Amino acid sequence: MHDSFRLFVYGLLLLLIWIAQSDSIFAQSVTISGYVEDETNGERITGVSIYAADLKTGTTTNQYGFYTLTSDPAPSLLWISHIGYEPISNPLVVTRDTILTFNLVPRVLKLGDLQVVAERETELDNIQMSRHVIPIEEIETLPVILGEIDVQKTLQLLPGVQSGIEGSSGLYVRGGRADQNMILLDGLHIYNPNHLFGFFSVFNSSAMRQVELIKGGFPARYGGRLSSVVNYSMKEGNLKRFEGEGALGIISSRLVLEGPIVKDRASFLIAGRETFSDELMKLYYNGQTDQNSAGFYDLNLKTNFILSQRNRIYLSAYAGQDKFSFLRKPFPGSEEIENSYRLGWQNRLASLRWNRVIGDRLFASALIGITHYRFNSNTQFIDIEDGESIEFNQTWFSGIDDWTAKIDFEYLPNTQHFLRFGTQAILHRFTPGSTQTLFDQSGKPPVNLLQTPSGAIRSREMSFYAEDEIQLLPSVKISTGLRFSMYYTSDKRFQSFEPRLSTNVRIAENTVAKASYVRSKQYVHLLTGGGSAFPTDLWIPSINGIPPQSGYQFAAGLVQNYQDGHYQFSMEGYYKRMKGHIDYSFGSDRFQSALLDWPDLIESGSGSSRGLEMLIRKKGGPLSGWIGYTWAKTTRRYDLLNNGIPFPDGFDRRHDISLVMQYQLSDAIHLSAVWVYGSGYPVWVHQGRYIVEPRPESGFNYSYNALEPGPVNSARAPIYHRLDFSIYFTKQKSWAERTITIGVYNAYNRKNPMFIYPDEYFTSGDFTLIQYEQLSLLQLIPSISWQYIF
Amino acid sequence: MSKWTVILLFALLCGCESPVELNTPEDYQAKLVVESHFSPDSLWWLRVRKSASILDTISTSSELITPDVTVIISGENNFSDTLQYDTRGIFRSVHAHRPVSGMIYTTQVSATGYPQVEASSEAPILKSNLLTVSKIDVDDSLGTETYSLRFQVEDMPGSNYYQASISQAVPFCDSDTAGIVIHDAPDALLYYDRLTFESNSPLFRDFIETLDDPTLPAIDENFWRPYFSDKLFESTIQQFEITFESKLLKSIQSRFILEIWALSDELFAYERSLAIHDINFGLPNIARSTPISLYSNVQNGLGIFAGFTRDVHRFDSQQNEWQEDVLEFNIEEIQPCH
Repeated sequence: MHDSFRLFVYGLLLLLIWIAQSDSIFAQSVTISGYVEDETNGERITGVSIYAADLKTGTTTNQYGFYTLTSDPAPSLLWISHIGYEPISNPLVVTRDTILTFNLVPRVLKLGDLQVVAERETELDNIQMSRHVIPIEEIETLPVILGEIDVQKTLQLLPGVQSGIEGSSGLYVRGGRADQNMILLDGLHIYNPNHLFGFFSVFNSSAMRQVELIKGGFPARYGGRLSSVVNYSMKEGNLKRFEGEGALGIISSRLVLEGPIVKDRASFLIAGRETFSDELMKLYYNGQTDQNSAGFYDLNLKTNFILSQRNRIYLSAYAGQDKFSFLRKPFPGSEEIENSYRLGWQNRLASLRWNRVIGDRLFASALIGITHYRFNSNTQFIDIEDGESIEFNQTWFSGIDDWTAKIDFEYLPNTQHFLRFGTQAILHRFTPGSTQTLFDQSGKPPVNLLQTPSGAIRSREMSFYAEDEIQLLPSVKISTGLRFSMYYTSDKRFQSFEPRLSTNVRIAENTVAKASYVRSKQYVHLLTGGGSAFPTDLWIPSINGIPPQSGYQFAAGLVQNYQDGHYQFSMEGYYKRMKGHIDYSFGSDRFQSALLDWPDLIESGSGSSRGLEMLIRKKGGPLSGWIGYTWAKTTRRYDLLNNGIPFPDGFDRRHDISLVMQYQLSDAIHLSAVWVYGSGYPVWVHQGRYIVEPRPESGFNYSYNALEPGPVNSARAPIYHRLDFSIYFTKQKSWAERTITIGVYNAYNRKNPMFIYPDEYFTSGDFTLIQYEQLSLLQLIPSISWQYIF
Repeated sequence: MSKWTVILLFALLCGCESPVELNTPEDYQAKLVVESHFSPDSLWWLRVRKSASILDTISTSSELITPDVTVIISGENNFSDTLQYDTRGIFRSVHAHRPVSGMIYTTQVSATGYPQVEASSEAPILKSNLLTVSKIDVDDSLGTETYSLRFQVEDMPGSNYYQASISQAVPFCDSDTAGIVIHDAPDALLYYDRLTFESNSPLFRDFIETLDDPTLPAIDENFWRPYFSDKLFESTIQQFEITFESKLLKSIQSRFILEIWALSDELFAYERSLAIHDINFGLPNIARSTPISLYSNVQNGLGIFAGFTRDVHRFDSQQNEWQEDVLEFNIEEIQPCH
């Protein structure tokens, strides 16, 4: 182990011991701190607004429901509110540091004015820009494809976020690539967030509590990715009573169970989801020689233990797998031959987190965890003839394993400063493409061969950060941060200082201006053929010859509230530059390269993105929702592609509109609708055609019509738009609350292009004419699902 | 769930293809398309045509022939030959010049209204030997003979690509849609009938796009005219053993040819891209990768200028060498029969 890494680990251990032994060393003045919990289940709530109405200042609970509010003088009235809960107005008489835990009751129908005002103030005060926090309850009542609730698809409805290929749950944020999103589940990276080749994400909404998306102005505590942070938090489990949820949809079914292990002290949550598609395919292929199947499952587990008022331990785990198989069984009475091809990928995560409140103003959160991601394809061939068997078994796999340790601190020394600092270390083990071949023939020694273009690559990533949120003037806040990161492989060391700066200026009572600058470094790359889960997608580290990705982003915007916060308008502009992202070389066969020689066939490029995003939100009342609009322009440049001339990124979309509406018609009926519009994605089309007459021995002994590609991404696909809607019927049964959801995806059956490709049509001559075809896979799709909460 | 329900679900998901209008580049400049797969077996030749816009309605290849074209081949030792127009866009050497293995040649093609194009390649040096031939079986009922054959290839430094095939000289074959008809008559014309052969060599791949691909198993044992690379025998001598079944002819003695080709890097890349182009034409590009295209080494133009070398080993059932011009029966023409 490297010396500095050993030093880091020892330092981390010492720090943990110090935290364990130090208790009220920081307790000094009037600080109110504590947790906010859900009264019905004891779960701690993230993002709750704690607003001192008399002092016109406030704070929010962190990811673990902890808050700390220091003021001088002490507040006499606190408003505690959060979307989905009845707000509390709490008079106070405090003269010294106090720990207070608040309990919120889930709201029944609509937001109260008190809550709206409190949230308005919190959002205006928040220095973080380009951030969206969406509670899962809000996501669960939006229209979905095939009845499958997908958190990531909701994120695609926000300004600045593109989905990529229609129907996929991909995220392309502000011109970034798929690998530039830091997707975290309870603090650990998810490397492939896709099920079914990207049609669904791996996040089971029933097990999630909320998701946070940050598109710019990243705080120093986040690093290692250029474009976004997508932070998923799992539910913690009900501390009060057992409860469950079951759902039955067209694609999958899911079941969630949670409850106390020891009432008010420890709880668990277990959630599972599995598809029907493989069963349907088995039915379809029953009795046939070809027996194909496709499906996925995932499993979430979380437990938490309250050791004391100041100490809490969480254990989180996730396991998910996609599996596709194509089997050819022998015909009855035929020669015994079996052929199979299997493809799949799996994510496994496990983490142990310890949260500790030190004194009244310091909150510490330490985590250790492991991440495992593996993609594999397998070909098997068995032939038994005249008593002799031949077995061929070949597996190609790629993957990544991480071992993570990190500790984060939050400290409020006084009303002017809010400090965060911490450190993180990740040991990575990359296996970017290896082939294991077994050939076993009767009477001959078996051959077992491992081929790999690079072998396993081990690397170490370390980072330290500190950030301070400073109340510079009554109406001006700034947040400064610095992140220092290091990355080691066996033959190369990289390091980087990444400054972060954000400001928040209250320019009117209901209006704030925000601006930010971030510089980021990314040490891991996804070498991809398309951005979905294809075998050509390899996670590879920065190594000698493949430098890290780097970039910076400026953003500036305005947030304005109307009608006491029932309406909010926000607008942000950004400019972003990136370099060092990699791709397969132009002309290389991506599939072949991924398997054989990717280190020799990589090209590094640069890019820029600029855009303007607008969002109008309606909160409170039976009708809620938002309208989002994005104007964006993203270009890429590679030395050896397109003559070195910059060209539009594959997911560059000039105009993008999302309209999201939810309407609570009554206690029993809820309506929701989504309409999206986007200008066409770029298409790399052909510009010329010609005839060749190949060498006869090549197998093409006739005139062959060939195509000549034009400038990269020079054409545009037709515009994209669709309308989805859902109706939720809820009924209280004797044993459970039942919800039936009826939905329609693409309600007016728009034929949107999923793929565009050339095809030839024949004439009387020997030189065929070309026309472009579009494949519109997702047309009108109705769905129905049942959900029971008991 | 009934099968009809499943079918209904699949039908709902079933895609729909429809023509789409795209704003493809309209100011397309046609390019010269150069083609020459040259080898020491034949005189210099080169075909020149032009490309057409994707939007163009030209539908016959004759409309692609370009006037006022000059084709020059140059090479080492001050070699230079200006080819003369023959027919159908083909230019040929009138000086009886042939390519020489191991020499790098360059062509320059110019035509009025087009930028001059240029390309270089060589016909690789090929050293192959036929080692042994033995008849291992005769099946009168099926009318077949089975032979075992060993040959070797001496690999030159650098990456090299090869192709092999075996053919039988048979009296008259009539290739039509129904198959090949053999007229076993001594006075018939003689043609080559390409044979499949068996081999347990893991190097052979009939499909060029699968060559050196570790995920696609080398489970085929019967080959037609497989490609192979020197990846596992770089700069060494590699021996191959094959068995093949031929027709048992009554009228003439069995005669065969073993052909070995060494392909230049350019020709291999071109033929590989041709196979991939053919596989993907008319299919959605789901990986959103580079659009289908053919490899070209022609600067400022399209097409291919690439060399190959062919070794031909003629042998009969006794491993005696034979020549086409000393056969004892009427031969007017010997050509491959497909």
